[in-house]
Parts: sequence; C-alpha cells; structure tokens
Amino acid sequence: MNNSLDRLFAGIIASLGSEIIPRLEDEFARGQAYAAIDLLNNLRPRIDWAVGPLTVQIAAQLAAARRIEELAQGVQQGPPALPPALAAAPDPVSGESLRQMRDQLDEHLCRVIEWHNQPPENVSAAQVAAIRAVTAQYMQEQVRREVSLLPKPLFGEIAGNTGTAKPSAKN
Amino acid sequence: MSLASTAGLLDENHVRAGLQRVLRQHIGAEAKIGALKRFPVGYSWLTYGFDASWDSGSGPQRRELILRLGPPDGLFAPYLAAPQFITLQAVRNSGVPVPEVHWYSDSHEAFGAPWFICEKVSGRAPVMWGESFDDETRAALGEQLADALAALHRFEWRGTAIETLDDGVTVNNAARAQVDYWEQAMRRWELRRLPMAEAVLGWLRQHCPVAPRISVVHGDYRIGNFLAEGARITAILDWELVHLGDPHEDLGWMCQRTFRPGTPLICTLIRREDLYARYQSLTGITVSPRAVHFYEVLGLFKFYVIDVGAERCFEEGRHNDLRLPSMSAQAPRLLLQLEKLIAEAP
Repeated sequence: MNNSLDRLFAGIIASLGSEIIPRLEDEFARGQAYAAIDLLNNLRPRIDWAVGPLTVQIAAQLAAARRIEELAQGVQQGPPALPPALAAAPDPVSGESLRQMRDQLDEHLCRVIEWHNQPPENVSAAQVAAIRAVTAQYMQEQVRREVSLLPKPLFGEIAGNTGTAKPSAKN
Repeated sequence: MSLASTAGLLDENHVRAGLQRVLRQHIGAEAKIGALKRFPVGYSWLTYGFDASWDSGSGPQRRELILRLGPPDGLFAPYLAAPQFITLQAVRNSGVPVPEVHWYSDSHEAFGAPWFICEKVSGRAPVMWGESFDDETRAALGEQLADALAALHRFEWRGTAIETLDDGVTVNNAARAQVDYWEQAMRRWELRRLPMAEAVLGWLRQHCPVAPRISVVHGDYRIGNFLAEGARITAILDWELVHLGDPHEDLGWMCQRTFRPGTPLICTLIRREDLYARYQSLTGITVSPRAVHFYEVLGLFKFYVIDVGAERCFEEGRHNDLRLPSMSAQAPRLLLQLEKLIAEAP
C-alpha cells in the first residue's frame, strides 16, 4: 500500500461526498455516510502508519544489506555499498519517517539486484550467487510479510458481482 | 477544444454536442441523436451507445452506433484511436468478428479526447465470474475464441494500413520490446521501487523468446472482451492495446489464472491442450510452451504495472475512484504469484 495517508483520506472523503452520497436515497444511510466523512476528517490529522510492521521490515532490510556487505568484502567492483545514512533508524521515529527509510533501503537493494543481474566480469560466479541468494531470500520474505497484512480482496464485489442479478452489458 | 477530464466526458451535453459535430462533418447532414447509454465505467476508454438517424440522398438512414472516448486523465493516457480503428478496419472480413468502424480522430477538437465510432454489435460480454454455460455453449465459445485468435494471427497485415503500426519489431526483438514498454511504464508510475519487481524484470530480460512470426497482437484477448449471442461470438472488443508482436503474447495473456478463477479451463471455456491443438492446426504455428509461459509471466507483470499505474493515478488526484487504491493495495499478492509462476517454468 504505497499511496500517502493524506491522499487516501482525501480520496475516500471525496468519493463519499461526490459519488456515493448523491446516489443514496435512504435518509438514514445518507446520515451514516456523512458521519463517516466527519470521522475521517477527524482522524486525518491524528493518524500515522503503524510503526510495528515497518520496524520489522527495516530490520530485515538492514540484515540483508549487512550480509551483502560481508560477502562483498574484498570484491573489486562489488555491489553498491550501504549508504551510511541508512545504517540507523531515524530519530524521532514516526510511521512516515520509517516508510521513507524503508523505501530508501529497498532502493539500495534494487541497486544490488541490478548489479548481480549484470555482474562485472571480474567477479566470480560463486560470489555473485552468494549475494543473489541473500537478495532472493530477502525479497521472498518481504513479499510474504506484505501479503500477510492484506485482507482478502473484494474484486468480484467491486466489479459489481454482489450476489444480486446484474446485466453484463458491453458495447 | 482543450483536453477534457473524465468528468467532462461523462457530461451528456458535452458528448451530445461533440456527436452532433462529428456526424455533421462525416455524413454531411444534421443527425437526430437518440438517448445516450453509458456502458459501465472501466479504467480507460469510455463507451456510449446511441441511435442516429438522418436523411441522405438515398433516403432516411438509421444506425445503432457506439462511441468510444479515450479520457486524457485515464489510467493509460495519452490514448490513440488510430491503431484500433486502423486494425478493426483492416481485419474486418478476415475471420475475426469485429464491429464495423466508421470514423475516428486523435485530435481533441470534437470531444476534448481521442474517439472513434463503430456499429453496435448485438450480444453481451460474458465474464469470468458467475456464468453458467451449458457444456455445448461453453465448448462452442471456447472453439470460436481459439478460431478468432488464429484468424487474427494469420492475418497478413503487410500491405495493409496496419503497416503504419510497424515500429521496427522483428521476431528477435518482439519480446524485448514489450518488456521495455512495460518497464518504462513502471518507471513512469512507481512511487517506490520493490526488489521483487526488479528481480522479475531481470528474469524477463534473460528469457525473451524468439517469435515464430510477427502478427497483429490484440493485447487484451480474454473472456470479458468479446460479445456473444447464445453460443456465437459476435465481436471481439477492446483493441486499445493492439500492436505488432509475437502471437504467443495473446496466448500467454488469455491463459492467465486471473481469467479462469477456480477452473483449469482457459478463460473458463477451453482446455489448454485443446486451445493449443486447434490454434496450431489453424495457424501452422507450433505453440511453444516456454514462450507461452514467458508471456504469462509478462502478463502477470503487466497486472503489477497496472496496479502501480493505478497508485500513481490516485496519488496525483487525477481520480477519486476508490477502486484504484483498493486494486493497487493487492500488488504484493501479484509479486508472490509472479515468484511462483517463474518457478513453474517448463
């Protein structure tokens, strides 16, 4: 989930106000929708991303980056070094600052992947394979961590398949 | 006229004024335009149905027509009408069921967006969820889906207007050109880089197949993008991603798991081996399972890039459509599926 919190709040509030409420005919349902807008407006300046999952994610990124540095010691034209600014957690810690650090660490690991996808000729295949194994394990775990936070998608319902009969008109 | 937003293109008065103008220009008479019917809103081209009647030298005319508009703030904007119009015109009567196209323009003069007008075709678009075909209908639709694709891929586009779509694609660079195209889209849209996406891109670059020939590729060939009346496919729709390339690309796309939820039948209609056999016998192309697998991976990667595009579109405030962030929030699931699909390489 990469959209900014503020944009998500703004979009949900705008969609409720301009797309949903005008189409609601039931007075109680309209009142509920306006209350939802009111609550979202109240939450908007008070909400930040949860620190817990981001801290776990950053710990995994740093572990991978440091393991790569160990494996790359003494390698000429080795993978990009971890920028010193990314070696420690931001202070003060906030969800937003951790998200920035997470993104910068992923950017760093993407550069390592670019390096091992086209390694310099002087680097041995075994050295490249060892570093590749670290990035592979990291990203497999990262994707699984992210998926573990996802609710079951409602694509069918969003597409209009809500259990009520509907025409499938097109053209 | 300046660029119109999607909201502008949803304004009936705006659309009606544009229609009056283009019909006057193309038929040389004032047309009477009936009620506009807007078809369900997708993420890109907008579709309106309408009746038009007018007096011509040969007597009164009446047509049921379709207007398609490419919104300048749509997910994949900027859009072009020319490639689809040219292709639809060229492949008509080639065995591919398509609507008859009438007029188009990529200028923003009439509607504030690219547009084309075609004949309305009867039928409805079956979807991948909740259809209950009987066995006979399912088999007939599956066979026709294979037959229409075969007809498209064996169509001799050289010497037709489709040649204008040729940007130097060859059997050797067709796959790489598509990988480059979708990588550029991802770079344009991504809010953050993800290691798994980079790794998938690396895999795609290293496994580009050589195409058996260069064909017209529909680009979004699947259930949901054709009309059927009973057991007969009446039209293949949604040609906005048409291009020249490897025919395996359409096969890989239609074989996506997304288009066959809970069933091994491709597009919920036909067994993979039956699709391959029928397609091979009609085209003379030996289907390469490795190439189909490559394009299945590329297809799943396209879904990921589309999610990235949806995220960007929403973040920039071009739309408040909540389906966009809802869809893109599921992107990690696609990356997990990509990892598994790559591991299944034949």
